Amino acid sequence: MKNRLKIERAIKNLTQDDLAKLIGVSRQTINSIEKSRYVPSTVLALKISEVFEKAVNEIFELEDSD
Amino acid sequence: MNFFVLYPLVLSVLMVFMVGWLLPRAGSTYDLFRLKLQLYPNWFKYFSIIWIVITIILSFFLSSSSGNNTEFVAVNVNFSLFVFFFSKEKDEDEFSEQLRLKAFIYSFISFVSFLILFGGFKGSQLSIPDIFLDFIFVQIFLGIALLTSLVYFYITKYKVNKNIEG
Repeated sequence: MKNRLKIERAIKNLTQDDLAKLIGVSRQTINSIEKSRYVPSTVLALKISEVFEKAVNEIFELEDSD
Repeated sequence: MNFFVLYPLVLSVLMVFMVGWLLPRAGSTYDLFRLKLQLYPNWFKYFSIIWIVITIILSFFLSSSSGNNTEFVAVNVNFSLFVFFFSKEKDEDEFSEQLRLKAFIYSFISFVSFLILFGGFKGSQLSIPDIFLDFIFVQIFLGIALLTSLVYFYITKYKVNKNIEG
């Protein structure tokens, strides 16, 4: 699964730490999601979409391998 | 009562309490979706480190008095590793929960398969060293499995930490 987390963070001028605090997870979690090492739960994806005020599928995108 | 008899007794009582903590509170439900693993608080990690240190100190006294302290050390170290592994991280979330679960699954698979393999060897009357016929061997291998889980868990966290932006 691809994601635009890093770009969205840059637009909102948020660090990984800022975003982690906003949604109540660790920095490792944000970093792992950005590197596509970890697929977040629906709850977490929705929290992220709330922060960026965008729909989940505008931030996360399925790949052919999914 | 001898202190070295009392100490494992305290450990056994503590272990009953610790297992009770981890087990589901939802009564008789077997629905895994409804169950949530109740991990120990983060400070239990310090407790487990202290327990290991006390065990090592006591083991020196035990070896000088009775000469055999391997089982004493193995049981107590296993207890400490168990508590350490099932204690929350400082920033516990779904990511660390999943990491812990995966780390545990891989070490559990190796533990179970090694014991089955060992059982097969033992049954087939192949010559195996005496140490493998002793219960202490299971204790030591359990310790290795728990340690492997911790290594899997913290190596992955370390790798993730290396890439974190300031």
